[in-house]
Amino acid sequence: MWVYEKRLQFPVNIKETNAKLAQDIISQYGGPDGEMGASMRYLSQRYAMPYKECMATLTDIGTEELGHLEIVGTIVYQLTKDLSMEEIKASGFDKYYVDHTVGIWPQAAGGVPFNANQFQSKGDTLTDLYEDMAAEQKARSTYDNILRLCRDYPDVYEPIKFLRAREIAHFQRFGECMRIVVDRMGQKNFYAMNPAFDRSAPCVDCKK
Amino acid sequence: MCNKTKQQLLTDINQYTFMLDDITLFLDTHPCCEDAMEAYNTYKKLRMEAMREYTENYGALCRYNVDTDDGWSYINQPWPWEGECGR
Repeated sequence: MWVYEKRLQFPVNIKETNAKLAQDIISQYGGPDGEMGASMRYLSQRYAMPYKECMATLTDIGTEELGHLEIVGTIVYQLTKDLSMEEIKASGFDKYYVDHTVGIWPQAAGGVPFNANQFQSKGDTLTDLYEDMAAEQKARSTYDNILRLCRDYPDVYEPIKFLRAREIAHFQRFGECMRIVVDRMGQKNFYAMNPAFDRSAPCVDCKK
Repeated sequence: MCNKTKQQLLTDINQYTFMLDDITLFLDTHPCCEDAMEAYNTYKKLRMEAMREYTENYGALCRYNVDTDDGWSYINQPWPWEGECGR
């Protein structure tokens, strides 16, 4: 169960609309390395995760990513609020506008819709954790690219900088999960077993 | 009456909760770290106090804490994407 609080994890108060920037930033809402995929990835992977530290990490980071989805949605919403038809046409926002007006819809900067194929839930403990670490790095790179595009807009720059920093913290935590799992595999070739599936995997009984 | 403005209290809540967000992730992978648990207890207390003060004076941020003496005030509080909560 989740409990909603009417506040953002990091405040967003954008004073000037900018439909061009909104089209870039929406990629972190529904793009290939965006927050929607991040949250769905971790919250889906946790069911097969056999270690309690990692179940907790996937649940808590998956929850934080939902909060990040709300921050990105807020940025896009505030950047596109009260746009005039002239601004919509001049910024190239008309292609989004024709399908969604100024509603928030999960897509990549290039217009590709959100798709569950943007993440995996493989049910193999090490495979999933490698994906999670890669995902945090890919999201960090995307935020780096966005930061280069919004340097002159402090109202946008500050929350994006916060989100970028969280990718680094999450990468660290998933790295620790990886270490916890590998240490418990207790054998030389830990890729030989999937502790989420193979009953013969070492330490499967002490997983709880 | 509250001696902190709505915005000051909301900033406090955001900051204390962020500390807890970060500390709890650390504790998930370091469940025996005494220093982290001490920090957790410090910010847990600060967050609870700030939350109580905010709710009493300015209304509930969460639908489970609404005081219905003023009606269903929950819907009247600005939603976070509206940009009001940062003011």
